[in-house]
Amino acid sequence: MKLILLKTNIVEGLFSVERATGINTNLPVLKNILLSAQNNKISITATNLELAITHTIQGKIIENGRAVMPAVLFGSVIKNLNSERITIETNENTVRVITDNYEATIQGGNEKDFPIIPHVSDVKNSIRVAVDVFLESLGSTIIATQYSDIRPEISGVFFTYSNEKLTFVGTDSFRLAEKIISGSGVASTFDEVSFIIPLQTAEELMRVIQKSDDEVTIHTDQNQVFFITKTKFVTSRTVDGRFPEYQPIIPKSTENEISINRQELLNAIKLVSSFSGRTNDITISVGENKKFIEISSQEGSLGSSVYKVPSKVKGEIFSVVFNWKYLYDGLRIYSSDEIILGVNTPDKPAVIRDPKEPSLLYVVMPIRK
Amino acid sequence: MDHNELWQNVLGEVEVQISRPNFLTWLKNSQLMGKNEKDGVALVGLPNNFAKEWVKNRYHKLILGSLRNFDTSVRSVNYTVISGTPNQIQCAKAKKTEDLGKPQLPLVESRVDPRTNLNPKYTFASYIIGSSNELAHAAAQAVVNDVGKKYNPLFIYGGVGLGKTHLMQAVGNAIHEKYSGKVNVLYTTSEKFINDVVWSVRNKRMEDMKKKHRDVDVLIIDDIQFIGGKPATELEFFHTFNALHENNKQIILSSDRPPAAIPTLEERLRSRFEGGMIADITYPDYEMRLAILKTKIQNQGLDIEDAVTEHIAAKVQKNIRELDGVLNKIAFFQQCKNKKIDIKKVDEIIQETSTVSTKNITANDVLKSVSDFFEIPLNDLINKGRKQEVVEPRQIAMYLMREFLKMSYPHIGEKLGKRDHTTVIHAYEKIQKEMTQDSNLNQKILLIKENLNKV
Repeated sequence: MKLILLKTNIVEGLFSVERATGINTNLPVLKNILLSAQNNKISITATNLELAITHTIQGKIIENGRAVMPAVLFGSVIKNLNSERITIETNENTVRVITDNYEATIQGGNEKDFPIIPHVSDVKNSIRVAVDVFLESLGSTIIATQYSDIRPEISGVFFTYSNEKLTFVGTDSFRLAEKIISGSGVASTFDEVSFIIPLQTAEELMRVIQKSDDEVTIHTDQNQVFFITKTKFVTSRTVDGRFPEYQPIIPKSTENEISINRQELLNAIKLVSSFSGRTNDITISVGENKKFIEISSQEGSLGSSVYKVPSKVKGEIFSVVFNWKYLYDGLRIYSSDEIILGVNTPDKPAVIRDPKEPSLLYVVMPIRK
Repeated sequence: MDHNELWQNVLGEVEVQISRPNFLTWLKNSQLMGKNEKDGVALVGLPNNFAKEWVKNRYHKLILGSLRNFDTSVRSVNYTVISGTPNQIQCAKAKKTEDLGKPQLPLVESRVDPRTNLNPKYTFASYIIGSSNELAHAAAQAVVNDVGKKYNPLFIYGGVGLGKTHLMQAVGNAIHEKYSGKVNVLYTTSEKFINDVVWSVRNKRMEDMKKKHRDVDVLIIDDIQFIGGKPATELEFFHTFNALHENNKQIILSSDRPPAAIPTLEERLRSRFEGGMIADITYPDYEMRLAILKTKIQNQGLDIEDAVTEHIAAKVQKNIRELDGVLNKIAFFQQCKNKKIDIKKVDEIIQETSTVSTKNITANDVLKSVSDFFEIPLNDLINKGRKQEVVEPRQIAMYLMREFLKMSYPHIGEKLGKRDHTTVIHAYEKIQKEMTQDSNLNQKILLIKENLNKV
């Protein structure tokens, strides 16, 4: 194989794939990346056998071929080079990196040892999502997801397509975020399909896929899911198990509703959180006249603080305790200035809604007083 | 040679031909899923797509050759991914879950209706009727048709896992549906009721508590026997009961024994419980158990042979929940092993699941556990002595022999030092009567019973 590549292109490709390399397995070849030049396409691939990422980069192919080399070593060589034009040449298992004034010979591995990346088996069916919508939806739901050994079925983001709507759901059993895409943002040839992608895959997708990718095409069979853009190919196993029936958790209505400026509430939470206790508890209560709410916290050894935020309150006077981090995360996924915080009783789930954006929903459980 | 054995042989052969890391990475957790006898195609299951691609492309020849060494009828091999097996290669770094302390409330995932507390999965349609519960079922139906008028209160009692909760919730759901939500139904357990009372006393919110339980048209309380001996709760319940009953609101209660046998219950409550309709649910007979099993198998879409089903119905006699447990284990077994279960394995599963040992309890076991419990020598129990401290244990032993071993009165007398059968009848009746009043005695007998089952 012989290629002439631009440094920025390789660095971009390495950035996409480097976190998919495997560590701590009994297969050392997983620490490597695969550089391949075939069918007029140059690509870099890495995999940990759960997730595989391929990034297609631009460059000139002089001779086709494949090479396998340690990701960290190759990365540090490329990133520190100061020339823009790089020639890469392979001979058997060695890879030579050549610029005008530098030459390195990297001891690579046998390219035949590199795992074979699963390919899309059901090419006909796909879901296509505009990239900005995809990133926004995944980003909003990933924050409510956490890795859990005990309940693998919720340590991932749940995708479900039905009735011409694509729904993303994430939960860690204390809070839940749901985002629904419909209309022009999504097109599908599936009638109905659903799967759970592992948290790590979701995190890598957020990192790897960029606004410039235009559109994400999703393919899936039972056990595998593929996210494909013009230059990127991300495939991962899906999480075994059934995502919990989450619909009944979402309160149909809320008795007490606070309409409030989102930014101000965020500031208030951040400020008041300094005095919250070990459980991150802060109290939200409705002030007299229902003209403002009080966000307060106290911890014996630290002191206490109260912040008043003007707001419109519908319903009765109440007071609820939350984990401020959960509330803060939830508020950050919205973009409008005005949001609604709906609360039932202090032991029932609360809801954050945006009146202008009904497709996004964040449910959070309070802390018991 | 069955599939499992064949595959083990193949793996043994392949293992020596490829490197250990490769073997562990790609072929560990693989399975021979089956073989089509007609065209000789073997189906090999692998834990993930990476392994599938790799084995298909790199080891196909090796595996086909090795398979043919052991089974010449194999002509080719197909590969598939088995879902549900643990993915051995886990690289995702586990984020440490924050220690949130207890108070953070989790999202509740049940489908329980938050207003009525009823679980919609319990319906009359899924309730199987047999001779053991037809009275209770008929009474429950009557309550649905004539809320608050006909049988009020409806008191259902029966042993553990016989379907009291199912029946009561079915009534609640049926009423809720029939009157399309216009009739307020509230289902609660006595434990919840007690907690509510405690909470409202502590927070001085008695009014909320009263409102919650008295503003309903149908109040269903499960396991009412637990409120016995808790005076504040009993009092609150007494007032709630009166308030509802006076206004012709339906009350449905369940317990593991009849009102007369709840030892710590106050007299005024007992008489009220007895004022409506008391229906019992007893152990289901064989036909009914079989019907229940078949329904469950159908609902879960399981594939279990009739012989196995009949065997389970014959073996698991006392508890429907246990039937469920056995069935779930069988389903799990079949899914994992991908083969049908045989009677021998079923027996093992029943053994594991069953809380009551299937071993026969003999008269001597009873005597021994009674003498152990009261720490008196076995001989004193049998001998003629009429010392105060042996009289009660002796009577308890007689009671247990009659109640559990269904021994005849003369036979029991025989066992206990040739006593007259009238003595035994007297002892049995005395204990039975005292059990309804003396919770201490009740407790003793319960403990002896538990010990007996452990023997």
